Amino acid sequence: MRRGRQGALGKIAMVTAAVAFLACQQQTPEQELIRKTDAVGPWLAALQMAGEKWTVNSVPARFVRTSVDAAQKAFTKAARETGRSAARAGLRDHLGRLIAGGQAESARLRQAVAAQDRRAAVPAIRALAALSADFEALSKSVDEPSP
Amino acid sequence: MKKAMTLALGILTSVGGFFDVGNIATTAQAGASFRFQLIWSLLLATLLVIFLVEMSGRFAAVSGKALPDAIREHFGFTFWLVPFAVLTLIHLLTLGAEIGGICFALHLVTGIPVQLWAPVVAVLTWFFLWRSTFSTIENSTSLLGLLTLVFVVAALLHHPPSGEVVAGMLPSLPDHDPEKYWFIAVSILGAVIAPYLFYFYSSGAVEDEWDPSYIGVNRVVALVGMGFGSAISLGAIVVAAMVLAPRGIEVSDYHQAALMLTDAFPFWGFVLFAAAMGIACLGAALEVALSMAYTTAQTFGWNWGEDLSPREDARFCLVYTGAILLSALLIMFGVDPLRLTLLTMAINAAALPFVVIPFLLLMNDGKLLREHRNGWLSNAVILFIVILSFVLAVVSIPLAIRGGS
Repeated sequence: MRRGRQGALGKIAMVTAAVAFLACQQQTPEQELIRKTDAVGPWLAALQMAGEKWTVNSVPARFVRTSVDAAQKAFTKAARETGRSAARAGLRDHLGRLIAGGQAESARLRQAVAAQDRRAAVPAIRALAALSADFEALSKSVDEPSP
Repeated sequence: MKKAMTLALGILTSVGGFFDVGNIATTAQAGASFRFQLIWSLLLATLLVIFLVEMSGRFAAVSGKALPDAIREHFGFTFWLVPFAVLTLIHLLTLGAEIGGICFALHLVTGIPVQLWAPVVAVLTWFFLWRSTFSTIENSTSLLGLLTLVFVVAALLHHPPSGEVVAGMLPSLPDHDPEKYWFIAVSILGAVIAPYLFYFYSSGAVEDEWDPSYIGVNRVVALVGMGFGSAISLGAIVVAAMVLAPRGIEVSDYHQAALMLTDAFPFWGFVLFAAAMGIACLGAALEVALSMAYTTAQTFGWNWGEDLSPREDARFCLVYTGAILLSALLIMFGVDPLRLTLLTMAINAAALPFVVIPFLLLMNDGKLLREHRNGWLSNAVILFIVILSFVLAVVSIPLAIRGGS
């Protein structure tokens, strides 16, 4: 009985260790950079949606403004991670451009919202959508193993 | 007639009181990042919480005692110290998360920073507790909490793919972000099986003067109330999966979750989300603060009861006052409410063995509960889910912290 219980506990410990080991597997610098900046894509998409909803009066202007402020913090953090990363230069440059684009377009959206100018918000929303799609493609290209 | 009223009110308050900041955060993240794939975690948690709440009510109805009181008397003060310390930590963190949720709901509506709302919310929460009776708190906030049913309505309006929803009821491995997947699974377990919930429930049953004739009522309230309550969480997962996931919006901040209802209710969705969040978190904050005061007062043998005047149970009132103050400080000093919530929910899951096993031992005491003691099925289900939650939490919390999830 005692041995059976020890065996069961041993199996649980082994499964736990295996799960921990698999999850801790080393990542390449490129994968690590994408993981550390993974908040950028969802924020670009969220700002796009917030902007779209504001143009049809579904959310108030102050919500878009505070969302942009929160997103800007995430963009700044991601830019810092990109600067520190040991990933290849091409990826860092691409990501850096995306983040800078996100910062610029979200600031443009914020300005349009502050001015209650729905027409001026539309190009910023479109640009955020394009950046979001670009970020998703970049993440996928890093996650997929090279042939 | 009185029993029927208790039954109806109990079910309504269980449904209305089910949803809180932990449920909002974890279900929004689950649906947005993994669509319907984590529904199994919610179902598992619901099964356990039904068992625990039923046991908790049965214990109070038969013994006339609340859990901390009984565990201390039965096993001694030294034995109870470890679970008590764990419960105190959980209470403070959960209260901080709930206060953060109320502050964020107010921030959504006003645009005023979350930190500035913290002292105001702390004073209002304290004032409500200071002035109200137990039944006022239980019934008013929980009945208002029925507003959270808006997530169920929104889920139905989105016509989710039933095949995928059913498939999500079975556990499966993630095809991306395994660390995040397991961390959210654990957080859902911790959000639904919040340890304060069944300790609070037993104290509430004593406040309401339940006797063994309430065992049937208790069983129906636990099963139907918690079952329907979890339907709200299921609704939130479905809404996040239908609205946020297709757009690539993962939830790393409550601003992202706030967009959830705007597709189903274009004009009112944003306001409904803020109102549902604020009310759900206020109800939970009151319950958690009270639960902390009950647990502490019962541990040290002080006078306790929300229906007593503050003069009669000054130390009981002092505990909830201090707890509200300390928890509000977390938000005032800029701790991110969403991160605090997710970490607290995962810690809830990790702490389950410490707070559930003493309770389980008590539930198997034939001298105390006679024919109402636990059967083998209750014991087996609870032990299995508690051990599973603990193992998942111990593995996933360090990984999630390392990965910055």
